[in-house]
Amino acid sequence: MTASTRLSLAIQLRSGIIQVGAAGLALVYLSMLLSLDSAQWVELGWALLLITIISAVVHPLNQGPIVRPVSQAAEILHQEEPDPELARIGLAGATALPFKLAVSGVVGWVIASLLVPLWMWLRLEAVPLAVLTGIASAAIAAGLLSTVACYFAVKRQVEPLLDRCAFAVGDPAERAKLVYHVPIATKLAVTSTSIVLVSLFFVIQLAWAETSRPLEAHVVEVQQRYLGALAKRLSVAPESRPVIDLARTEMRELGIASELFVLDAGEAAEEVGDVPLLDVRDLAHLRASGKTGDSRAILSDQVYAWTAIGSEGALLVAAIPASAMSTGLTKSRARYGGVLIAALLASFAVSILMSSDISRSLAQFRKRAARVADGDLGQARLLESDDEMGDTGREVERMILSLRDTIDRVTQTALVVDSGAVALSELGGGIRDASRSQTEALGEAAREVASIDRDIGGIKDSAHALTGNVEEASSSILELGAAGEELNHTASALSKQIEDVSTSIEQMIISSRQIGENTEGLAGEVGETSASMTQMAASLRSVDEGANETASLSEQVSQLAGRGQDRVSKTIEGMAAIRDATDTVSETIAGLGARIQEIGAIVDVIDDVADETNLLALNAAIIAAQAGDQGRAFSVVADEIKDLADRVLRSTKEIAALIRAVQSESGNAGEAIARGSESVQRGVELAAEAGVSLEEITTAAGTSRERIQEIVVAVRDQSKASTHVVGLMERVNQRVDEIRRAGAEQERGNEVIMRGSLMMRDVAQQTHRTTEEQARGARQVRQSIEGIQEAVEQIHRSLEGQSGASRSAVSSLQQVHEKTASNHEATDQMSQATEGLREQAQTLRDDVGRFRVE
Amino acid sequence: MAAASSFSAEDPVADLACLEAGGQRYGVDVVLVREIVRAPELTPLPRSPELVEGVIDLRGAVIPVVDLGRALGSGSCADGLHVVVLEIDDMVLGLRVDAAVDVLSVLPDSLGEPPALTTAAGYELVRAIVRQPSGHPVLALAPEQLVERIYRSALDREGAA
Repeated sequence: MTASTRLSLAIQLRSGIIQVGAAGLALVYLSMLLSLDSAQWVELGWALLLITIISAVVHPLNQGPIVRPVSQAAEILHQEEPDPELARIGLAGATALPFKLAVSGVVGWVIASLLVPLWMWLRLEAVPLAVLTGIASAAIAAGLLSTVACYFAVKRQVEPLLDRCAFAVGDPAERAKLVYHVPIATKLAVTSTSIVLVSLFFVIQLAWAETSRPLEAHVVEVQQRYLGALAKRLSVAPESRPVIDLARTEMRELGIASELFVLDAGEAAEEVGDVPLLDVRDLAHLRASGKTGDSRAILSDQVYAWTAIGSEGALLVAAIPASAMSTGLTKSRARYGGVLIAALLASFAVSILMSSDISRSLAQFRKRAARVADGDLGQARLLESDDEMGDTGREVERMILSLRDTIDRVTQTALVVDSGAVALSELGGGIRDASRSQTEALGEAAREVASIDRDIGGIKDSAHALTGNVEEASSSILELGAAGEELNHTASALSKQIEDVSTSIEQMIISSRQIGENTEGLAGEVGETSASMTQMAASLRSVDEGANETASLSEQVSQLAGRGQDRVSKTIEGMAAIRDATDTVSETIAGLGARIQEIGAIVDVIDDVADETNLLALNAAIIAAQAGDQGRAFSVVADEIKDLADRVLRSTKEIAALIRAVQSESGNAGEAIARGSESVQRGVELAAEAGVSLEEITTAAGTSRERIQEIVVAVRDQSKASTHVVGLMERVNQRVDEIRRAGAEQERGNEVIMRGSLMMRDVAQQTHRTTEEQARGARQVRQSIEGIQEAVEQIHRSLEGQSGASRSAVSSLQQVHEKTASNHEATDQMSQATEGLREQAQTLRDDVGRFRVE
Repeated sequence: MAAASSFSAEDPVADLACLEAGGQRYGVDVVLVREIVRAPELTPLPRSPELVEGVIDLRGAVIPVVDLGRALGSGSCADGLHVVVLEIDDMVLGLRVDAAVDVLSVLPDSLGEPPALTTAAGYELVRAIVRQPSGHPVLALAPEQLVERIYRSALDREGAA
């Protein structure tokens, strides 16, 4: 037999025993409480057999899925290395099993409590309601109690498996997810509710049974006495009906019977359909018993008594429903006490079960806590349960795990600290030596920095001087730049002259023998140049005059243009007048055309009349001709009229032609006038344009006058420059004189002079170029100078900064020096501290060593 | 037949109403002329004889009008100014002409025969030719022939239909 089948059989067996035990108890209770007859017992037996068969069929279907995971996981109990997957299944199944079994048990018992009374009610013709409710309540009470017992029994049964599975799974968090939760609150609620329900059922049942029985005894006794008296009276009085009716009324008033009737002997039990209140069982009981009797012998819903009257075996029966009896309650203390004690015992058992469940978990906690307190953090039996105890156990497990981790880390850290302390104490000596030499080196460095500082002071002075120099240079260069423009003008001329001079000197040197003459010639040329310069100055003056004249001319132009503008505006006015006039003419001609049209219409009328007249004359002539000789004279008149009409027709034709001619002429005139009007318009526009042009001319003349003024100024500057050149030429002349003298003095030093002259030419050319460049680059030079100034300023500033930095460096070096000294002391202290640390690390290691991890 | 043939070559003196149609002058004996009127708007007749242009209302009398130019084959007188109203054998007929010009007294010496060729071919619309001093002769018409032609053309059309 494998572990799994063994476990599952054990579970089934345990729950089965409990259920069967509960069923037995229920039957004992029923037999005590209800006085069932044999037929009822037989049917109850059948019903129980039916329930057993149904549960035998349903049971595997119902409980199979619940028990299977547990029996599957039972293998784990015999494995060396537990299978984690199996352990997970086991954990989930074993925690779910007790509760699910309990639920299915309750359902089963509830079904049974409905089915058994139903079966009996169907099978037996008359079953008192008390019997049915008694059976149902007994079944429910037994079910509740057995279920609670079953839950705790099964839970205890699977405990070893649960421990094993919990150990195999390990991780508390994962276990928490797997476990089937049944809170303690639920357990308590279900347990206490079932206790209360069971007690309630007992009490109700007892009240039902025991309150009716003493009353019944009393009532049937009274009924019996009354019936006895009535029987005597009936034997005397033959007319029985009124007596019986009177007696019924009396009994009703007394409250001892609701019905009173005579049951004839011949009537079979089945035939008495109209007998009030009594059913077949009651009638059978009546027949079976003797001459007198009552309902106490059987369990019936009615309370009745009877007595035989007459000799034919007729029975006089008085009956009342048990429910109609309403008198005070008398108790059977012994029975009540028994039931209450039974309920108390049941509650006590259930409570014991419940509390033992919790206390077992708590005991396990206590053991675990004691071990942890002793420093044992190793593997131990895990606490696993379906309720809050399980949750707490898992949390404690997790706490122990994390504690273990912490202790491991602390141990490792202590080791590291220890070795670190050893290394530190070794380093301490080295640091002491190093700091001493560092102090010395820092002293030296401080001295060096002080000397650097002094040097920087010197550099700063130099920089100050440099700044002054640069400023001077800058101002000089600025002056130079200002002179540049002027110099540029003169340099051009100078360069030419020097070129000439140089060429002359070259010639002079080449023809060394003719130096004197050539020098003379050169002097003459210079003189000429000077003269021409003077002439140029004169011509510049004339340019000045010319410019002045031009200025006045442009003034005149401006004035003339102004006058022209006036004229133009007048012209425009005239043109406007012409346009107005032409418009009037145009209108007049249009009017004329209309008149001529009217004349044409009139002429048409005349033409018509003439035509008519002509026709009349013709008709007259015809009539005259028809009249023959008598009409001859009339014929003449008709002819005359006809002639007149013809003439009129001819005249009107001529008039029509004339009108057409006049119309075409007036049309032409209209067109011509329109053209004239357009011309006038164009003339106006042209005049406006001319006005604008004149205005532009005036503006231009003003501008040219300004330009001329500028020219005059420029020419004056030029004139000054030429005067300057003349002065320069004089100086050149002096130099030529010098050269001449030098030539005379050093006739033999031709080569020297040659070189000198060449150099001079170069210098002159260079000067020329330089001045040009100077003129061009004056602005650039100024900018560069500004840049230099800024740079010098920057140097100055940075020198200031450097000086400050060097001073702070000196002070910080001094601080460093002091700190090094204190460092030295600190190193000593640190060495001592390291020693202390080593001792502490050793102590820590010893402390940690007390915890046994494995 | 009161005034049907009052004019002939043998009758030396007669008065002709002188008419213009298609640039040619024609004469009709004044005896046949009832009056000359301005050409009014013509009302065309459905299925009328070929030469009849339409009818006019002359003071209550409805008169058929013939285009003389078309009847003589010398061009239409649709824009003609006058209609000459003739009365031939109790039949009143309007001749549409370009213009009624004059009344001409015909002298015997100015009268000429029509060409023999035309009369021989049954062409009898022109009865005589009246010479004129201006040179352009006036053709004296025989209006009864014209009426006959109208009848004939109507008969032809009916025969054709």
